[in-house]
Order: sequence, then structure tokens, then C-alpha cells
Amino acid sequence: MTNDLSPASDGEVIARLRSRDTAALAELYDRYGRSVYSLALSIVRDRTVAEDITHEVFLHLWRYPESYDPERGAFAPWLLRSVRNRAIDALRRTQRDRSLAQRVHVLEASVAPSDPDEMAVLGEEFERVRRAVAELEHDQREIVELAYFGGFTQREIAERLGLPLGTVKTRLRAALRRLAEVLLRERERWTDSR
Amino acid sequence: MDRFSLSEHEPALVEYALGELEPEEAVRVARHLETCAPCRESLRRIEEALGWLGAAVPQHAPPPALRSRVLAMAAGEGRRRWRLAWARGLAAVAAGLLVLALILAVTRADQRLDDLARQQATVAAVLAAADWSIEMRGEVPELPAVVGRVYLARSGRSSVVAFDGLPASGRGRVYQLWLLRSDGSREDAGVFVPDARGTALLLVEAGGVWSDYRGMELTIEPGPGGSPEPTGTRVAGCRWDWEIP
Repeated sequence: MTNDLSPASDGEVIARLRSRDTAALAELYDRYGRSVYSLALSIVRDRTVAEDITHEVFLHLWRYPESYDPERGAFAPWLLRSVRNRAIDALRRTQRDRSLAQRVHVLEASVAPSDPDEMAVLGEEFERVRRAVAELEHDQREIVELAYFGGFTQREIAERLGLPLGTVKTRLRAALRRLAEVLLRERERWTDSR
Repeated sequence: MDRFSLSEHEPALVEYALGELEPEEAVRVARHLETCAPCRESLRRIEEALGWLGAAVPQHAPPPALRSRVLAMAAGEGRRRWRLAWARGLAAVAAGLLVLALILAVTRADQRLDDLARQQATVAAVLAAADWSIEMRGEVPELPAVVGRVYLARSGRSSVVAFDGLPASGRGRVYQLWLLRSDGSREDAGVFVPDARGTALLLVEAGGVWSDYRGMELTIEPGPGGSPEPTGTRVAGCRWDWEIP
């Protein structure tokens, strides 16, 4: 079996993007535009700002396709991290004094059946991640949401939730380790089945 | 130890990936990563896990007009970049270039705390995004062979330059950093005075993207404002050469 999950074909599209092929950009937009927009919207909670971030992210990709280095991992998580960082910057610019009263609940706690079209495009990796996130313990998920989607530092989270800093750090690391574990396991399963 | 336990530096790497570290600490981690393959692998896994998290949010379709807006802008940019590529070397794109150097290590008494916090967050973000780094080498006998390191993302405009082991610049004199453009001209990147330990951490904002530059150099100039063009001896520098995409 030679067909791969999305990363391999992403690589091909990126290669075309490097040779200034606008059709490649359209293809990447069709593949990831929805995920990019959704993530930005989950963080900034403002449609106009989320649109601007989506626009910036794809334009940046067009201008500097070399900023994605395949050596540093798969394309989708790299793209989503850059979306998160831009969205957090936007959030910090507009809300200097945020309180945890504006709790961040963005992660899907249940695995909703995905749109079949989306599944066809994004492959099963997205689905596996959602399942892994749904399986996180409640207190781990809460820390992940505040740190990653809320842009709060671990110290801020500890102070405001009244938890020891060590507990916050441990929970965040445990959640990330759990995700890394699921991703690695799934990848090995796929590699074995080839 | 199971195969999923990341390196012993995992706690620091998580904070590094989240951009939470103080600048000095982030520089230490960046330096460590250059020589430690297990930590680079750990960071890659942490970043990948963080990245995939972004897929676990409720999905909403963006407005259809956004697709056209992105593609139209890209199509226009493609032509402009092509013209710029031809013009490069013929005209110095001097106008509108703004170069700022913020000296973080030399904290002024009047510096407001939130400014500092913002700068620290910026330094951490630049380091986390950096995909390239080079040594700044001393070029006169009074300076160590390596006086610092430059960290940058080749597609970006920001850079962190961490100096270490610089001797005092001398009474009434300052160090001045210059950015060398591809066409051979220089941009003033600002002046600074290292602290008592000889360290300085600069956040350098270039007028263009780094792919349009070929190096940096350090001279000693009259204080406090430095010079519009280099007048002193070049004491340190670095050069790089990469293909323009």
C-alpha cells in the first residue's frame, strides 16, 4: 500500500506552492481553510478577526512557503500551531485584562460524527485527535484549554484556579504526553499495516 | 522509562513551545537544542501534539468570499514579487524601512513593567519561530572568538541577537549593530551597551524579510546615539548566504 495519509500529499502540494502555483494554494485552502478558520474563531470569538487571521495565514504561506520545513514534522499541526499563535497574539492585543471568568471551553468533549466531506479531505488523523482529546480527564482538558486556547501562562492558571503551579504543569504535560502517545501509536499501526 | 517519556528537559520544552519562558531562559533552551538531538525530538513531539490540539475544536465553514479574497491577493502578490525580484540590486528599498533595537538586558529604571512583559513575550515568540541561527564572531583580538548568536525565521523580519562576553564599549562610546542587505547597503539596527557580564539581548526588527539580508556587523560608535553610517572599526560580524526563493 503506497497511498499515505494527508502529510505525503501535503508535501506535494507544498512543493507546487514553492514553484508559485496558485492552484496549489487553492488546494491547501480547500483542505485546511475550514480548520484554520474554526481554530481562529474558537480562540478570538470574533468572525471578522477570525477571517483576518485565516487570510493572513494563507497569505503568509503563499509568500513564504519555505517557512514550513518538512523535517520538523507534519504540515497540518504546523499550520494549526501558527494559527493558534496568531490568534493568541490578536487576543492579547485586544484583551489585556482577561479573567478566567471568561472560561475557555473550546475543545469538543465528545466525538461528534464528522462531515463526510471533511473526513475525505483531512483523513483520519483529525478524527483520532478528537477522540484522544475527548478521552482526556476533565482537569487535564481544562488546563489544556486555558493554556493553549486561552493563552494563559501556567503561572496565571495556577494563581487563578488556586492550584499549585506544579499541579498545573503536571496536568498539562500529562495531557500532551497522552496526545503524543496516541499520535505515535496510530502512526505505528499505519506503518505496520503497509 | 517508557518510549513516550520525553527528555529530562520536557518541562522547559513545554514552556518553550508555549512561548512562556523568560527571554534569558528561552535563549538557554535554544542553545541547548542546537546540540541535543533527544531534546529536539521531544520538542518536535510536543509541538506536534500542540498542533493537533487545534483540530479538536467545533468546526465552522468560513464565508465563501474569504477564499476568493485569499486567492486574489496571492495572484496579485505573485506578480509583484516577480517584479521585485528583478528590481533587486538595482534600487535600494530604503524608504519606509524601520529598524528598531530594543535593549532588554539593560533595563531602564523608567521602563514600565508591562512593556517589559510584552518584549519578553516577543523574544520568546521569535525564538520559538526561529528556523535558523548563526554565530556572531569576534574579529578583533580584544573580543572572544564567538561573541553571540543570531536567531531568526528566514521568512520573518524579527530576530533575537544574544551577545555574551562583550568587553565594555568604553567611556562615551556604544556598540552599534548593522544589518547587511543583499545589495551591499547597511541598515542601522540600533545601539546598545552590554551589562557588567558582557551580555546583551537584542530584539531586532528589520525593514524587510531576512531572506533579503546577508549578514550583520558590529562596530563601536560615539554615544549615546551612534552614527548614521559606520565610522568605527568592525569588531564582530556574521555573514550568511541562502538562495532567494
